[in-house]
Amino acid sequence: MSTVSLVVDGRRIEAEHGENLLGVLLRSGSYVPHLCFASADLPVRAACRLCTVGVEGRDEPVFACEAKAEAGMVVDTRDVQALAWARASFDLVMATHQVRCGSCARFREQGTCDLREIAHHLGAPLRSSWGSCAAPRPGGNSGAAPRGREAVLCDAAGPMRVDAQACVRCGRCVDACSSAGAGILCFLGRGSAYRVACIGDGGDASASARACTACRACVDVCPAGALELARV
Amino acid sequence: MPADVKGARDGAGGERLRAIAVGTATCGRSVGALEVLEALRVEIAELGLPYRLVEVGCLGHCYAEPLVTVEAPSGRVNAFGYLDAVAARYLLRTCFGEEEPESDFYLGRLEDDGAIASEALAARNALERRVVMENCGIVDPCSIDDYRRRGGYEALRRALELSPDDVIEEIAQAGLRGRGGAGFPTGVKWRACREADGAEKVIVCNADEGDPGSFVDRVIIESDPHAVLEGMLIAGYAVGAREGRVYVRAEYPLAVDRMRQAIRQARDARLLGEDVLGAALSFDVDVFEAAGAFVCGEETALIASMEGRRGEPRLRPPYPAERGFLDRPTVIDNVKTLAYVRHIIERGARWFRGIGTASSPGTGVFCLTGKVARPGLVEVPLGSTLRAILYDAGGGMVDPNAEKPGRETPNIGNGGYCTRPRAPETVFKAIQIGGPSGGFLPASALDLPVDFESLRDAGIIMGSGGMVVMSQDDCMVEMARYFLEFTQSESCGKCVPCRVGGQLMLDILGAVARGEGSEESLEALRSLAVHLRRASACNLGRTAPSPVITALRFFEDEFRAHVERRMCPALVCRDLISYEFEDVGCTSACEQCSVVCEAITSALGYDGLSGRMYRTHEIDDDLCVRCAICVDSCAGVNHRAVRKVTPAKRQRTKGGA
Repeated sequence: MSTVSLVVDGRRIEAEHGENLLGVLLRSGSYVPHLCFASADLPVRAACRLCTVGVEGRDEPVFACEAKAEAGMVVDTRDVQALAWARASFDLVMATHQVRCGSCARFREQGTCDLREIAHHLGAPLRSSWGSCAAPRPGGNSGAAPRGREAVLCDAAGPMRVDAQACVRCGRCVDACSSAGAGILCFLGRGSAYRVACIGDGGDASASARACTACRACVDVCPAGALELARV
Repeated sequence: MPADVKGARDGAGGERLRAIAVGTATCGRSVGALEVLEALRVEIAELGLPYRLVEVGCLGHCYAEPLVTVEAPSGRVNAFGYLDAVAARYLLRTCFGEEEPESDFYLGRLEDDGAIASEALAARNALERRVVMENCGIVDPCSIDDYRRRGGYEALRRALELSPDDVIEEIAQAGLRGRGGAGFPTGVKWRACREADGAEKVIVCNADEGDPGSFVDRVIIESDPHAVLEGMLIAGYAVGAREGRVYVRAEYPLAVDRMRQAIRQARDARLLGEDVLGAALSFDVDVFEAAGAFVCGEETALIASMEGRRGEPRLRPPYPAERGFLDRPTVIDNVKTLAYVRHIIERGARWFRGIGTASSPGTGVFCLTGKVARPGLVEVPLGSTLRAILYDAGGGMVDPNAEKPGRETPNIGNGGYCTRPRAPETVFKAIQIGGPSGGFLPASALDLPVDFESLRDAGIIMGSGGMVVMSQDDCMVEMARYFLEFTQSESCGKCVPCRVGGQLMLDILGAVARGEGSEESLEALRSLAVHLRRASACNLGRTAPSPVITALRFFEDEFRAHVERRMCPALVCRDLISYEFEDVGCTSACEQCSVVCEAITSALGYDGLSGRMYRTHEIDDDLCVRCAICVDSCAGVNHRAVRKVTPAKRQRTKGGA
């Protein structure tokens, strides 16, 4: 447990040797786009592929959540290549999220969301260059339905509904439910059918429904405003 | 020939029983080996012949299955192939007893390492070096005694006389590299596990073999399961593990059964459990049936699934050798890698280094499939060229006009209108190596040596040894799409590049195959491929674009034909082809085609000059669904009057041309 010194964007930062680099950057005020990283205590998902940074001595950008703090590390969060990689990943993320801020409850309440923050930080457009063609199966594209209270939501996942056209599969809700809630959320399916669901979804989800206390941990932590409690 | 059978006599002490070994691995079973076995059993009993039947695994000559080896009176063993029940009964009464049989079904003399000696196979035998395949198709996989009579478990005995560090040193000196695809040095892996903290270490045999078109691991487990167990035992002794798991895909039921049986026999023989071979080694093994996910061939996803969690890869480091199954130091080795271990211990590291190349010592077992003349398994020194593997071992491109013995098409009529025209020659177009994580190589790459470095420099990987041979009748766009469809359906879905980007690539390829692509499509494929390769969280995603990228690299013209001219040069992509009858008109009056398809209309004509009646046929292109039933029904009467043309005749009315 020794302390090491890093240089991040020209500033000297102290960290524990072996500490998760993304965790170090975020807690020291150097913002790096991220969706699937919730906290340094939880296992690293390394799923969103947004947290690229430049590290001196490495030819290619490094995913900060996969790296550990080492003595003398020099990090550049505005490295050109790292930003290019992050934009490419973000472009794919946004291909799975229907941009309908006008009718989004989160946007109405807060005037922003994590996705908009990331787009701003990266200087990237909110709308994907791939269109929203990658909105997931099996529900299929139901067209431009309004979001928010009047929304036609695609998938029921037990006691909450996941808007499959908004969900970016970051896993924060699963982690939040697991640490602060009843622990009923999980990922099911693979490939394009990978989705957030509750345990027992597709079979008998009654145990999950009973266990859910509507604590809203999942709803509050979702970066894409994709979750809503099914019962009020 | 199973060693225990030579010299066996029947109960009455009379004539010596000679062995007939029937190959009943999955390849044989799929074409009727069990029927051959039963026919022989019945016939031998009825006629009271001095034979003893035994079931063995696969010799690697899968193209000739069902395959049977017969011991002649002198002890020489002859191999017969392409059998069915009728042929087997016939041969039993005629040439099975001969020293040098003369028969279309006779393949050659079987040598002690499983090679079949004949003139036709001379080039193959000069190239092949059977090490891991030595027992396959010869030893009785269901008999530990047979395995021991052929020298099995002697390597374990030798290993136990060395120190564990010396065993690791021997493997390291031999330069054995993992045969699962990555080629990581096995000695380094074992050493890392030995030095890792933790008393409860584990040896895992990765028998998930998910590559479509690869069945090497299946053959080895079905034909010589004890070789794998012996490798695991030696590994366990070397790293200090007491526990082993064989992670077999459930889609290999015969392999699962044979491995379970081998484990039971080893336990009975005190080769597994406490006090193995009376030494201080305790080691036991269990079979774990995988639940059907290609991604679980990746070692961290494999571990997750064994732990009862979702089969998703996790971050490395830590590597499994340090913290793997249940956070214990774990060695995960491929079936083939473990099968080499006993040979290296017995014959020495220097012997192993004498085969292959400096950086890729030893042999490689490759699985030839597709348009090759002799599909099946071949084992050659690493560094052999693709050309040698394909032409010497594989017999070159398949001859579509050749017919298997006993299955010749009857010749109806003599020069009349039912003789079958010659099919065009099959010409080499590409070879796919390394499964869905590998890539395509064109004819210009045939002199490439097959070893880890050369393949890596060519931008592909060796994978599990699968080699799919393609001809002019295979469309590279469709082949790329096929492999990408596979990796997409097997993607765990966790990371953005593979889940979203991979799906986009598949959608784009599908559009190209339907004639709906454009120049932008090819650009998009390339840029998405770049991002999957650099940003995916595991090797499934990183290598999923390889088939697409190599196809684009070597066959760009074919992709351009699809997007620019809406043509499929190989005449495969359904939306880009039409079926039509040959201009000369069909001279058969059989009407087989118009009977089975309502898109075909026919009219009768009369050629006054020759006095012949003939038929003309028309295919309504709008009704035609390109199912090829007309081609099949025409072939059924030995004719070939239908052909495919590109571009398609009809206008596609789907949105967006």
